[in-house]
Amino acid sequence: MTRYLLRRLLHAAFVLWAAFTASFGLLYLLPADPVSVMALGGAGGGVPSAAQVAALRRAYGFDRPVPEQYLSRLTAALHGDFGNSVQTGQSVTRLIADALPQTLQLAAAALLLALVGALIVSLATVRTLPLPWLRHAPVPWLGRALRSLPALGVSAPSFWVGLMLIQLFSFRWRLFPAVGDDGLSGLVLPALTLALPTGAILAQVLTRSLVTALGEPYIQTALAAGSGPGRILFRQALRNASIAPLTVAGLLVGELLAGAVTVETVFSRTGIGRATATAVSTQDIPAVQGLVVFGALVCTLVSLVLDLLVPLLDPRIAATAGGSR
Amino acid sequence: MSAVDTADIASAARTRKRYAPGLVLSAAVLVLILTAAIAPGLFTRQDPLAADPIHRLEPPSRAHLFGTDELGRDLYCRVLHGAALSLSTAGIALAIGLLCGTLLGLIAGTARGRVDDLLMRATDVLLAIPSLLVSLAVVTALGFGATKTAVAVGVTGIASFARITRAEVLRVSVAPYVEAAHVVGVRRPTVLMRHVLPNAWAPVLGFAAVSFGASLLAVSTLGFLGYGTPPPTPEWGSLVASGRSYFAEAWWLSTLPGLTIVATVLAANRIARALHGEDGRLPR
Repeated sequence: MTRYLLRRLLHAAFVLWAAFTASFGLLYLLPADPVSVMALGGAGGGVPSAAQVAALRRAYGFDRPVPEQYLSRLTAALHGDFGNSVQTGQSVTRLIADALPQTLQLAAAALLLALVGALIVSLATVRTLPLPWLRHAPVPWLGRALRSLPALGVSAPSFWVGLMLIQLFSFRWRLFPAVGDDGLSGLVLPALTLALPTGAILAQVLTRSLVTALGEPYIQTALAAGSGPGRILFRQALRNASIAPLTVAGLLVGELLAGAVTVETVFSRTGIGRATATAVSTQDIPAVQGLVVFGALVCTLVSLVLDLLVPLLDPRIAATAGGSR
Repeated sequence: MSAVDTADIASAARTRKRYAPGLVLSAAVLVLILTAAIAPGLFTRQDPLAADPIHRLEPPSRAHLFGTDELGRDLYCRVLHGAALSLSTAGIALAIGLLCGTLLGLIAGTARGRVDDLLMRATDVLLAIPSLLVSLAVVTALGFGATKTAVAVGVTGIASFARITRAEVLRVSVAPYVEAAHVVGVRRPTVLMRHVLPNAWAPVLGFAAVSFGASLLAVSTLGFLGYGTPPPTPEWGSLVASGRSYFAEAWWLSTLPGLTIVATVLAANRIARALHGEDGRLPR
């Protein structure tokens, strides 16, 4: 188990380093002249003077050789410093820290909604299967409708879904505010929008693994022992089917972070996503790099936690992880 | 009570069989939209850029199927003319992912050893970061525009294509006919092109079909965020975005271009699933 843990930690560190290096190469080396990109993007247009460009170049260290730039940026990044935003002059770390609580709130609400929604849809879908022990006539059209729900959720662009929700719930029925980030009522629509694609994928995975679990011999055993349908669904099938969706849910946390870019833009909320959109719009290179590396950090941490959690849930994985690896 | 095994449940769970109404409808939608992309003039005679301030913000009617926007431009016409740009951008993105990914996968699968390790670690990293963030970083570096967003979206597909191709190459290269070809002295590149690649194609192309919808969604998202083609030219994502400012008074502005995206993605996914077997295997 210790070796497994060590391997996972090393891998996580490698991914973070690679994400930093790749984003450094992409953002600082690829543009012919990052300084003029930043100068043009910032300061609300207008051609920067030669003196301004030279000052910026010195300030961002572009007058130094590339390996030296890379090393100094890497050292700074290891200390949690991604430089200052070109747009605001504020430190990028500060920017992320300020925007984080709003996005965390949104992402947590969305994840909860996605999990609950996926659970309800998958269990309902499974209940429409023609299994004799479910003790009710299957309704074919209902099953088909339920199965097409996730496909629909995956196909709708979330920026459009958000706008539709605003149109219906804010403009027409005046139930929730259309924009802004105050209070619980302002959280409902954005969280719902963010939860939809995530929940749809989760529902697909959960339904599939529930169907697989229902075909296992232990279901027959439980039936023979006289368990009722509810008990079998929840105690046997769901518990055994929950591992794959859990891993997927971990991967989806990254997608929630990415989804926040559009959702926070649509609902005019402050947060990491909005900050990312602004940084890209103004080609604010240090901010974009900080945000990308932060995204990689979140994803790596989540998958690390899951890698440690899954063996606890499924002892078979712990056995293989401890043994052969 | 009959024995319940996975196959039974799976076949019960399978949606309609081939040539189901949904599939026919999807094909019709896709053909219609592709025709619009190639020859928008067949469906509308209006000019997508012609402003008509007297008829601004008119709701959908017989004269203007999708209504008009804040400058009086016909929205139906703009959506039709936007199809070419949106679909081609998504197509280019897909092609970039497919070509680069397949090439890298081939190299990894045939070279093995260090090269393979290096390439697979690289795909690990690419898959560890949410694809939108990767796209946004690329857009920041390259700048805005349709082709650049295509590159930005294409890059995110490389890792998955590389993985699938590599797995297929590894699977095929232990096949008896490949070993036989080696034994009789066929040169390695020839074996690769004549025997390995043709047999490794199918799952890769299947995944490409499944990816088209996602590619269109990603391209539209970048367009919506304003990183695609600048305003006057119609593009689906930016049409939805520009409708936002007048959304309270004119519901059709964002709704109908968005519905077009949903219909296209749904149709593309439905057909891809029919081509690729029911579930559309996920890469990993």
